[in-house]
Amino acid sequence: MAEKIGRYFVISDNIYTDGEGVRVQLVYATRTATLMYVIPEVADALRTGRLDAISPGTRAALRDSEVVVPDDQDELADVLDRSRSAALDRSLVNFILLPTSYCNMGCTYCGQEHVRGGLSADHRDRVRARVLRAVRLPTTRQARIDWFGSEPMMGYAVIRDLAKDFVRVADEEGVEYISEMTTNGSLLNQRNLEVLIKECRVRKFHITLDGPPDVHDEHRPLKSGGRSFWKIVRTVREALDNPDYRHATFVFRTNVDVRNQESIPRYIELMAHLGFNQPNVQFLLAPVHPWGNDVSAIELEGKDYAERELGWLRLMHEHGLPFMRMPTVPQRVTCSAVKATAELISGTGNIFSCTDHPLVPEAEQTSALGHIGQDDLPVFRPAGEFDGWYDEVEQGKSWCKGCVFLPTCGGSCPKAWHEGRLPCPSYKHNAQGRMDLAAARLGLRPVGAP
Amino acid sequence: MSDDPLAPLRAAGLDRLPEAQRAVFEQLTPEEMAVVSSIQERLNAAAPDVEGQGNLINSLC
Repeated sequence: MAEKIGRYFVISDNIYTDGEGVRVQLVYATRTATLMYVIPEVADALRTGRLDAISPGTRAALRDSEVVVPDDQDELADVLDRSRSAALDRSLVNFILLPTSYCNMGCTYCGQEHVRGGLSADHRDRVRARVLRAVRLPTTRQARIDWFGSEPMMGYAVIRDLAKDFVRVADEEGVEYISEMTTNGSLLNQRNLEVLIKECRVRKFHITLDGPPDVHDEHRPLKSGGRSFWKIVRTVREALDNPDYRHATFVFRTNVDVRNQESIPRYIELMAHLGFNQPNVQFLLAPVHPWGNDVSAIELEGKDYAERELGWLRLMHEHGLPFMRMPTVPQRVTCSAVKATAELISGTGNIFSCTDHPLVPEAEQTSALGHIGQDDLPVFRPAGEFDGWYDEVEQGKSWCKGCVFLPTCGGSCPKAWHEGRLPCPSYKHNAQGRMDLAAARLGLRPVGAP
Repeated sequence: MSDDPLAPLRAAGLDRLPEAQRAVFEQLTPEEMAVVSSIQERLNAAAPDVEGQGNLINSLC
């Protein structure tokens, strides 16, 4: 079969060496999210379109990574078709649940409006019935339940109550059960972690720390006026020493804006000093973005953020903190907002497709796709604003159509594009530096570097 | 230096690959083979990297 060099790969500008004769360049294949190490002659052949200059063995590897593709393949159409199929795939059902409408934190950049109160008993039962109906569908192979906020741990009793049924029925039906929680971490303790991990089967906790203690506590103040940094950190640090929790992952996310950016190096050094360089810990940095609110005075511009981020990632590398250098899985489905079998049920009972909508006053009034109290809800949520996202990409309504990172990013955030904002991930701007860090992980350094 | 062209693969533990995959390696140039084995040894020695997508812009909380 005739073949061609495809369009979805990035070659490192640098040649890397181990100082003992090995010279390689990196090729990041975005369709398969694969980092490949190739000799410079191969990188040069890819860059200049000389497929015949590549050995059969390397050519086979490039074929596996979809850098080399059939000559007649329309790659964009292929990428988008895969995403469309994944978005419509009924074997995976995903519910993102807010067990309460309240948060005990008043983060300076938050666009949500929090009110006290969990789901009423009737709403809770309706949520339970809706999720279980989806889990029991003969097409369902995997059920993913994400606990989201507001602060989900304000509704801990609701989580325990619902999760026990979700887990039980998933087991009965032979459905794989996956659960994650996005939490501010302030209400976690060893007792409830034990229940969440073992009974509720939460496998990953996304916890936000916005800097070292003084900065975090100011950026993410408790509404009570208290502080949370050390409580969160001590709880997770203790949990990491529990061998029963090795399969649970703790992701520390840091939302970065103009006010905490200077403190990020101090935060990284502190977390390394505290022993968070553990295999089941991940660090993630993300720029603050509008969330139904105006953050223009504090947000960092994309390229500027990416440049600064690279310095912080380098520091993480030097301290051995785990972080993702480049995505290792392609983004088949951009986000819940484009997936037909994913929905978010707000603490208000409103049903959304987009995680940026719940508890944001305007969105709660205008963007709900349904309400848990309706008796005529279809099995899967009604169509939403973003269900045609891949058609929009194909029509060139965003820059994604021509972007080499489309297969690993999926367009990042359809909502942002609809609002006229650019949500491109930082690696679009700092991929070269990230590849330096990937090489450094293997003890390779750029030729000519000291 | 060994005369065995697959010696670098054996050193990197790649000789235990299934036949089809091993055939791919056997079609590499000697220079590529040396690079592959060196990189594989380094990957074997390195701590596991963080895997996943990482594009979590929508889960601000």
